[in-house]
Amino acid sequence: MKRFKSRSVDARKALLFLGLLLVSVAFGLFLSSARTLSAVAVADLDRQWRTGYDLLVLPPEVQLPVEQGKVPPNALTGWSGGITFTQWETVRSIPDVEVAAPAAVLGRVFGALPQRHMLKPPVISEPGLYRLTNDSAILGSIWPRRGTSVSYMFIFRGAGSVPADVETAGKAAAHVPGVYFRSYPWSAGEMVWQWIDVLLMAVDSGSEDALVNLEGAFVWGRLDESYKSEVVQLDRYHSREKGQAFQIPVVLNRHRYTQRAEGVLIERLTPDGVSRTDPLAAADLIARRGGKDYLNSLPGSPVLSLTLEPEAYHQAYWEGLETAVGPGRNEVSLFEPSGPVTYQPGVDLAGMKVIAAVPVPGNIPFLVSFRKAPAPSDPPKAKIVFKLTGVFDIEALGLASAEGGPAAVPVDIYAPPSATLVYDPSGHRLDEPRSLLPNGDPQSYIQEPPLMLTTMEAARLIAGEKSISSIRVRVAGVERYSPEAQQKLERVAAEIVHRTGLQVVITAGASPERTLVFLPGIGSIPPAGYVEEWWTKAGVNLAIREKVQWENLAFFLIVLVVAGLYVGNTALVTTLQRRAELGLLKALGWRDASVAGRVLGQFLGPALVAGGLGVFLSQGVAWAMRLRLSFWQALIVLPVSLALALIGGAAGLGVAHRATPVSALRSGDVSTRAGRRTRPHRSGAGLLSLAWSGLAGRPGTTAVNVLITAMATGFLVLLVVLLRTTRGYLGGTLLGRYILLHIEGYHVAMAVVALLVAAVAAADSALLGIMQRRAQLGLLSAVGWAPGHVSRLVLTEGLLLGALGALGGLIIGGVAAIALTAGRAATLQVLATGGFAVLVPLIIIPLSVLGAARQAGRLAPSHVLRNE
Amino acid sequence: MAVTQIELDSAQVVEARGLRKVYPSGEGQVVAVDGADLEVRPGEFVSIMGPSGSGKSTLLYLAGTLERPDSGSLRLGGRDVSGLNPKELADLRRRLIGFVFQQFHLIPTLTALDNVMIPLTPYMARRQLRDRAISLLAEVGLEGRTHHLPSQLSGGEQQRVAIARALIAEPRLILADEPTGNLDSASGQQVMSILVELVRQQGVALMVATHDPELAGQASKRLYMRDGMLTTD
Repeated sequence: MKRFKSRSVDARKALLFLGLLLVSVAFGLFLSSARTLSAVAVADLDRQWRTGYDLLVLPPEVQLPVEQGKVPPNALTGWSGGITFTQWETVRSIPDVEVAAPAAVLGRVFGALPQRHMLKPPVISEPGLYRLTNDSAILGSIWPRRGTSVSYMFIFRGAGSVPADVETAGKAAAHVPGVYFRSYPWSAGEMVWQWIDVLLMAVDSGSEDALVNLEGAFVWGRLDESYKSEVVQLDRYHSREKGQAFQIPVVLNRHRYTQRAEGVLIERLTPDGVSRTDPLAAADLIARRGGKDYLNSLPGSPVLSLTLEPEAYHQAYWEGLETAVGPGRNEVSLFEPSGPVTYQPGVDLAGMKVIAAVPVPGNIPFLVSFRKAPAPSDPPKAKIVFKLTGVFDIEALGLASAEGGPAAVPVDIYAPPSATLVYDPSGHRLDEPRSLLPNGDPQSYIQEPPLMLTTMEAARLIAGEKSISSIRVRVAGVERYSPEAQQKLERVAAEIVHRTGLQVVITAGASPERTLVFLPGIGSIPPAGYVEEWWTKAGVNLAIREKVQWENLAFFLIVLVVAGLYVGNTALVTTLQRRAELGLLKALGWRDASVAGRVLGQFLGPALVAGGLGVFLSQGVAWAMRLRLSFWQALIVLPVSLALALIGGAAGLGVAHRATPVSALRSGDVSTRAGRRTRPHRSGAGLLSLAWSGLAGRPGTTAVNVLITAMATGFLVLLVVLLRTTRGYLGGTLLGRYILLHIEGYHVAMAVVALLVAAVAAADSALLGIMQRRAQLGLLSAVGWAPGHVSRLVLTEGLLLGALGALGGLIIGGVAAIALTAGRAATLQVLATGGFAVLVPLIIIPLSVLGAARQAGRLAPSHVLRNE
Repeated sequence: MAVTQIELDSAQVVEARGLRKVYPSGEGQVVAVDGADLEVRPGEFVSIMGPSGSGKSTLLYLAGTLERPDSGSLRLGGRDVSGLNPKELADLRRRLIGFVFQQFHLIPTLTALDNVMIPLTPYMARRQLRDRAISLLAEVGLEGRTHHLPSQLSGGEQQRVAIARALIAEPRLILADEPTGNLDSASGQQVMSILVELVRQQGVALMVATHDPELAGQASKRLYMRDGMLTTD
C-alpha cells in the first residue's frame, strides 16, 4: 500500500514538474516568437506603411458619406475634373513634395474598329445567297453580355447584274430589311463591326515615371511630352466631316482586362424558285414569303466558321486599336466620361456591414447601369486625332493588385478594380465565389482602367484648366514609419489643404479593407448579389501595430491561465493531502512560518529545476523553429516558473495555516481521505455512473480540469475556425491577414502546449482520484471485477473529463470565433470546423489517464482493504 | 452469470497445504502465516481466533486469493490457484467467494441496492441482477432500505448490506474478517445469526476471523492462530 501511495505521490510530483516545464518552454517560445514576430511585424509594417504614394489629393466634397476615410477601388476613373493646373502647380511647389502625379479623366473614345484586324473572313465571289451569323460574348462580367446578329448577302453574277441604285442605296434592303444584294465579290468582314470604347486619361509622364516607373512598362515608344498637341482642321485628314479636332499624343495599354469572344458563321442558302439573275424579282419573292423570317427558317450549308477566343480576340483587338489611332487614321469621337458609382448604406448581411450601389437609368436593356454615361447618339465632347507614340503593358509595372499585398492602395489607373461575387441576391454564400471582370460598357459597375494615356498638355487643350481629377503625392524624406515621418505627412497634407482648399487623404499606413457591396437589379433585371471588394482604408497600419501585440498577449494569457489553474489546483490538493502531516508538525511544535516554508518548498524546488531546464529547452525549441532567443532573454523563463509555483503554493498556504494538530491528526473515513468531507450524492452502479461519481467526488479538481481542457480546446477551436472561415486573419484587413498568416504556426504551438497542460492535469486528476478512491477500487477488485474493468472505470472518467472539456471548448472557442470575426464565422461553420478540433481532447485526455488506469487495475485489494 | 473458464468440483471448498506468507518490515521480515494447513468443506462454519497481528486476516486473504502465498499450495473448489493470472483470479473470486469486512466497505455514493449489485454489474443484465439483489436485501431484513445510502444506515444495517453483497454471486465460500468488530453487541449478534442461518440454509462454507469467543463457539470447526501458526482446539 505504501508503495502504491508513494508511487502515486511521485507520479504526481513528476506531473507537476512536467506541467511547470511545459509552461517554461511555452513562455520561452512566446518570448522568442513575440520578439521575432514583433521584429518581423514591425519591419513589415514599417516597410508596408509606405504605400505607392503618401497622399491622395481630391477635389473637395467629391467623396460620399459612406466613402469617408476610404477610397473605393473604382473611384478614380469616375471622377472627372475639379482640380486646376494652378492648384497642381501649388501642390508641386510645397516643400517636401517629391512627386505630385496628376490624373485627368478626359472621356471615352468611341469609334469603329477596322474589321480586317479582327475576324478575317475571306472574300466570297461565288454567286448565291449567304447568311452571316455573328456571335459576340463578353464573359466573366456581372451580367454576361452576349449578342447575335444575322444578315444576308445575295451575290449576283458580274458587274451590272444588280441595278446600281439597289446595290448602293439598298432599295432591295427596303423590300427585305437585313438582306443585301450586290453584283461583285463580297468581303464578308465588312459586316462584322467592332467598336472602340476606351477611357482616355491624361497623366504627367515624369511624375508617373517617378511614382510607378511607367517608362519601364513600355513595349515600344513612350508618352512623348515633346509632342505638342494642337487644334487641326479635319479636312486636312480627308475626313468626311468638317470642323476642328484635337491632335494629341497617346500611348496604349495593351493589357487584357476583359474576356471577349467572337464567332462568325457563313452559310449558303438555296431557296426554291428564287431568281438568281433578277435581284428585284428575287427580293419581291423573298419579301412575299416572309422576308427575313423566311430566310431565317431556311437550312444552310456552312461555307465558313471562324471563332476568336479571348486571347486571340484581345490580340486582334489590340492590333486594331493600335492601327485605329496610328498614322493617317481619321478622327474619332471623344465623349464625356462616365460618372462615379453612387453608394449608400445597405442592409447588414451575416453580421457584416453592407454598402449598396445605387442604379441609375440606363439605355442598355440587359444590364443595370451604375454610372451616368453618354449614349452613342449624344453629341461628342470633341473630335480627336491621335498621334500614337508608344504602347505599354501594366504587367511590366509590377504594381500590386488589390489582393497582391498590404502595400497596395489600388486606384484604377493601372489595376482594374477587383470584385468577387460571394453571395447570391438572397444572401446565400456561393459555393464558388466568382471574380468579376469588366464588360466594356461605360455604364457598368466594373470599368476597365484607361487604355489610352495622353499628356497633361493635351488635357488642358481638350478639357481646360480644371481638368485634373486627382493628384497622387509622394513626400520627400519619408522612407519608413516613424512618428516624425507621420507628422511630416500630416504637415504636408495640412499645407496642401491650406494652400489649395482641396481634400487630402493620407494613404501611407492605409490598407485595403474587405467591403461587401450589394448590386441591386432594376426593372426586369434581377440583382447580381453581393460582391466583395477591397476598399482602401486610411490609418489602418497604426491600429494594427497595437492589435498585433494585444492579440499575442491575449493568446499567451490563455496558456498562462491554464497552467496557473493546474499548478494552483495541484498545490492545493497536495497540501490538503498533507494536512495530517502538517498538523503533526504543528503538534510537535513547528511554527506556522516553518510549516508554510515546507509547503512552498515542495513547489519551489521543482519550479527551480523546471525553470532552469526550460531556459535551455526553450532555446532549443526556438532554434528549431528558427526564432530568435538569446540565453539572457531565455533566463526570464526561470522567474516565471518560480512565480507560477509561488502563486500555486500560495493556494496551499491557507490550508496549511488552518491545519490544527487535533483536526488534522483525527482519522477519518474514506470520504474524508483528502481532508475534505464530500457532500453525499447518489450514483448508479453502471460504469458511466460510477465514473461520474468519481469525478463528482472531487468537484474542485474536476471543475478545474474541465475548465483547463475547455480553455485549451476553445483556443484550438478558435484557431481552426479562424483558419478555415477567414483564412486566418482577424484584423479585417489584408494587413491583418498578412501578419496572422505569418504567426499561425506559433499560435497552434501555443494551443498544443495548453492541451498538453490539460493532458497533464487530467493524468494528475486521475491519479488523485485513484488515491482518494483506492478503497473503492480495491473492493471492486476483491469482489471479482477483472483488472480490465477497474481500468476501464478510470478510462471512462478520462473520457467524461475530455467530453466535458470538449463541449466547453466548443462553446468558448465558438463564441470567441463568432465575436472576433464579427459574425463572418456563422454558427454552423463553427460547429462544422470546430467539431474536428474537439476530437483532440476526446482523444488525448483519455490517453493521458491510461497510465493511471493501468495502475488502478493493478491495485492489490488486500493492501487497500487492510489499510482503509 | 458470466461464463467462467475455471472448472470447479465440489469435494473441498478450500484445501490449503503449508501456506506461508512473509511481509517485509523495516530491515527484517514478519511471518504472517507460517505453514498453515486448512480444509473447508461445503456447509462448514470455520472460526479463526487469535490476538491482533496473529495472521487471521492474512489467512483469510490468502484463502480468498486477495494475497498470493510465498509458498504452499491452495486449491479452491478443487482447482489449484497458483497458476492463475489476475483476471482468472478475479473470475474465481466472483464465482466462488463472498467477502464480509469489519469496515463494511460499502461504496458511499451507491444505494444499498446498487452496493449489493456491484460485484456483477459488468457481467450481468441489470434487470435480472436487480431482482436478485432486492430478494437478498429482503432476506437480510432490509426490504425498506434498498434506496438508502450507506450514510443513512446504521452499522448493523451496513454490514447486512455487505452480507447481501457477498451472496449476490451465489458463492460457495464466505470469508468474514471481524464481521462484528465494528458493531455493538446486539447488532453483532443479529449479523452473525443472519450469516449462520444463510450458511445453514444455502450450504455455503463460512470462514470467520474473530476475537469474539461466543461467535467462535457457534462454529463447527474452531481454529486458533498465534504468530502465524494455525492450530485446532
